[in-house]
Amino acid sequence: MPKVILIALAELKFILRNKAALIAALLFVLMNIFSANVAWNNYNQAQNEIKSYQNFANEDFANQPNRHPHRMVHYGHFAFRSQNPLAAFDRGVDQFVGNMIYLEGHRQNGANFSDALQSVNLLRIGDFTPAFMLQLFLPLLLVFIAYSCVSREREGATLPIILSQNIKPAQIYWGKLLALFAVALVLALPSIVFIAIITKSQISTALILILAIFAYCLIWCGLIVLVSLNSKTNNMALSYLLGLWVIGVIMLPRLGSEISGFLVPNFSRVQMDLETHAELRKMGDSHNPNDPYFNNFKASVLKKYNVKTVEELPVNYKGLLAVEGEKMTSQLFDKYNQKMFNAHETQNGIYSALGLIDPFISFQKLSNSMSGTDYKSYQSFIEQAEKYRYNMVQHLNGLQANALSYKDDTNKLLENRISNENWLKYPKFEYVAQDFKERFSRALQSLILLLLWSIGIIWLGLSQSKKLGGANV
Amino acid sequence: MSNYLAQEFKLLWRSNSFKILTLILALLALFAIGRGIILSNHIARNFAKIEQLQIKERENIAKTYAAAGDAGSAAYFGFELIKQTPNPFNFITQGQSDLGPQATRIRSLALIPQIYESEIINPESLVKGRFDYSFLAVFLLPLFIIAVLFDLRASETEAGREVFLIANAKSFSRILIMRAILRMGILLCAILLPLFMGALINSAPMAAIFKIAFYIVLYSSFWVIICGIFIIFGANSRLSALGQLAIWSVLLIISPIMVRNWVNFKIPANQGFALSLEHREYLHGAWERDRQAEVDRFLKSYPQFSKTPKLGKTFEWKWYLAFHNNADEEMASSAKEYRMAIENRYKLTKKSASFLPPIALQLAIEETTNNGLLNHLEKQDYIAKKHKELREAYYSHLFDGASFNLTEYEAKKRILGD
Amino acid sequence: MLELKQIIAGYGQNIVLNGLSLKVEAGEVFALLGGNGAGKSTTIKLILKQIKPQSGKATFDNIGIESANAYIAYIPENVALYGHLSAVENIEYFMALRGEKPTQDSIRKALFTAGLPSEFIGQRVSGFSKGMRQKTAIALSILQNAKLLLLDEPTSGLDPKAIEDFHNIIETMCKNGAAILMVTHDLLGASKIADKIGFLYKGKIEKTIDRKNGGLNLDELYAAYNEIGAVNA
Repeated sequence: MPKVILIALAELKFILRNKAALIAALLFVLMNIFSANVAWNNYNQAQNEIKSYQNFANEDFANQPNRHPHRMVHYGHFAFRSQNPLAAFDRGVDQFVGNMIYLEGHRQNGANFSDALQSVNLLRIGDFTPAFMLQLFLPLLLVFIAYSCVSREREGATLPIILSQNIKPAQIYWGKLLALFAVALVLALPSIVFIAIITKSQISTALILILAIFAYCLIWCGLIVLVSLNSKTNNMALSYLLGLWVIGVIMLPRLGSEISGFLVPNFSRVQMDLETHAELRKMGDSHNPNDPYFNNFKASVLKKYNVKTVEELPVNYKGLLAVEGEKMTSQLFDKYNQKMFNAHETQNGIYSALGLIDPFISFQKLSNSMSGTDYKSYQSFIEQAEKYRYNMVQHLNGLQANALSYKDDTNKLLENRISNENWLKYPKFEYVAQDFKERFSRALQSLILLLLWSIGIIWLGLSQSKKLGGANV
Repeated sequence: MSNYLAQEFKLLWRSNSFKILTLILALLALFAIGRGIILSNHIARNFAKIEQLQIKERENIAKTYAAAGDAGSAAYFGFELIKQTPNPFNFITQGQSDLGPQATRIRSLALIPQIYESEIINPESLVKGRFDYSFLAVFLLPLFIIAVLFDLRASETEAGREVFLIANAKSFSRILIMRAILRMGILLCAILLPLFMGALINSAPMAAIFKIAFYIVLYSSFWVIICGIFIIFGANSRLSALGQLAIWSVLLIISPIMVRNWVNFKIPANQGFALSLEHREYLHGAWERDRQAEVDRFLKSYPQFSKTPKLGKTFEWKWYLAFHNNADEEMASSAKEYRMAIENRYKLTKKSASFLPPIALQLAIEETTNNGLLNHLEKQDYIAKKHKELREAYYSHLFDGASFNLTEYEAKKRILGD
Repeated sequence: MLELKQIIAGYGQNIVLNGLSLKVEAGEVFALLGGNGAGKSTTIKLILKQIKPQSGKATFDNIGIESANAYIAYIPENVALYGHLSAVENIEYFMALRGEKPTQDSIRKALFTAGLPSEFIGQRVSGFSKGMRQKTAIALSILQNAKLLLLDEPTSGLDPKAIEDFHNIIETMCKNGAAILMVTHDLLGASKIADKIGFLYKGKIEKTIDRKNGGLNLDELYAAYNEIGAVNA
């Protein structure tokens, strides 16, 4: 039998005889299964709710009576956020973003009713999902199981005996790493199975996630062997590893997010509203009969239809005004939205750069992106909702322009209702989750970082393992 | 005694690991307080900017509608900014108010679509959570306590000094207790001094700061007791480190999740969606209902305006504001239910805190700094109150014929706050 | 004078000392020999009050051992000190435990008397050899004016020169009137400096050889050692 395998088997035997480690591992696996169960139920429940509310909203919209199209602009619509099933694997930003947006004319509302504002914010480390178990607890458990993998041989003076059996230090290194990696994979197995089950046809998504899990496990296993072989005593190995865990998993991510917040400050919704309004006023005011912008607009419309007054127009000028006004406001909304997205994206970029020094960050980023629960996925929901809002409002404004006459529409005694067929037929809002390519393009950086980390840590471990062969064992 | 303490201090202070740990804790505390101060200044600056923008916004309303005496349009277009006194404790934690709006603007239309507005926050940064002082105290301080106490006895035993120490001292436990006190004293100084510094800089009320400091000391004693149990049972350093870290994980990571899930399961609070949908239905349904009946319903709640003339044939603002008011009234009980659900969630969480010191500390800090979930609800109540004042002022113009003009409008700036 | 009378002591049901009696006079070195499990370390623990006798009496200068703490110095087999402190600082610390604050001068003098080379006095003890750490502990006992020295395997692991140094210091301490009880495996060492040698077997002194009675040649000691079956108990 190859010597590496012999070393690995001996290490596995040691681990299997460690009762405390076995109990902890068993608890971990049970918790993992339990968390998958809880997360899956929560996901389904939330999705069902969201689906039924979206249906209510759709029905409500379709069932509106005959009315003036501008009433429908103000009646508006609701868009609810639905999710990729992988949200049950990694909730990502899920609980901190609103689940519902009210879509109405001339206004852009935020997504409201986030879970976080509806309960006491207790989840300051993370939510109970399989991804969370993998990211946080798997490394801790591995440290617990294997911190002494090499330092034990040194402290117990078995190392010189092993070396005297014509075994090279590198073989010890590979053997220990192999044993540890095997343990890690067994522990990660429930999560891997869970991913395989819930991704169904999204095979590439599942494969990338599983590859990342492998890399993340390998990095921690490599780190544990590296620290253990550099520590004089078991206690030292344990304290270094626990320290690294606390820093890498608990402290750095939070410090990083704070620092990115300092570098790119946030602005509030009210400020954005006010700035939009101020800018809008500068552009033009449709209520002001002497406003240059709208006078120009009027002139261009009259010229286009080759008439002298708005009354002579074949279409309803009020409708045209509404279309133009909505166009202006929406352009501004988009501009400010883009500003917000960019600010957040810069913050998130600074944060993901920390993945260079902290593989936890890379793994979390990747798992969020692949699960469709990262910032960009949320942004895509906002953008789709906004697009839907704009099209819907402009459709209704178009109806006002074409189905109503200017004369009727300016007569305050008339209600000017049009047929409800118009809303009955209007297409429903359907959130389209981002496809694999989009999600993968964002996960790529993290994936590369994880792979580089794995290679780097093994290279470092191998070169450090030469020390074992020295006289000073 | 003082010589002995001095010697113990020297022994401790010569140890690099303790010095580094203390230094890291002090730096983290300074960082947490510093980021809190920067953040509260940022919020204050933002609010000043918002106030300036709002003044311009009002000038526009004044010019366009108030000058023309058009109370209805002024009510429709005129948002008012709700004044908020900056919370002097924001440098410690922003707790739940972090998620709510930093500033609120309201107008006299229906309240329900306005009151649940959320703030623009980068959700990714929320996932990581804030590195505020309360996070440091609740989550990280125990790790530091564990780090300096877990091998308090085991290190002496394992180094073979235990018997030698006993031979020289009157009692071993006395040495251990003195050392624990000394270590905890220094650690607590490292974490509490920045808190007091921040309080001085922000001129926060000292009574509350002392209260928070007291809670932190109390919480620390809980962790000292945990470490003490391991010491009494003579656990070796490995068992102590792993056991104490396991307890930390259970108390700080697992149990909060369990409590949250349990509370949310016990008290569902999804009325928010339904509330919004139903409210909109009722509100826009008014266009299909009899207009005079809508005004009559309003007059039942506001009999003081019952002498108002009947509606004419064309659009009238008083009808518009009346049905907005009616829609809020129609949904009042559901809104209350929703609010109660959230409040009950808080109460149930607090009950669970009697078994879980970390949650208890977090809630205690949030309560003392007025940044808890209940404060968020109180803020909503305050907004509702201000909203009522605002819309009622317009009612008297629209229903009672009270004169509305520029001076009248400018005078109403007072509703910004009290 | 240390006096143990008919001591019965142990750990719960497990009786280790079973009627142990011994006497160490001031200025006398008593070497306690015995195999593993004979009760040597238990004897030391008893004198250090780490365990209480179930019956019997332990006194020092006619006062109960429990109030004689100030007079007793203990030097373990492997003197473990605080590595990140110097010899002087270690002594300062341990004296502070006793509630005393010796001057720097007296500490240096004691370390000199104990034989610690002067260049090491201010250095961190983490680099000290076993013998140097032992000397530091002896300096500590000098400073506390110990009237009874408990030595646990004092010469194991020391090189011949260090052993000789150690014997010299013990002689000095004896002359100054200290009673010395040493627990050892080292027959040769014991034969050189001990005034009395007690052979401990199953918690009892089976045989005592007194230098005054002319004994103490090595062969005789070996014979006695074998006789009580203590070689490999």
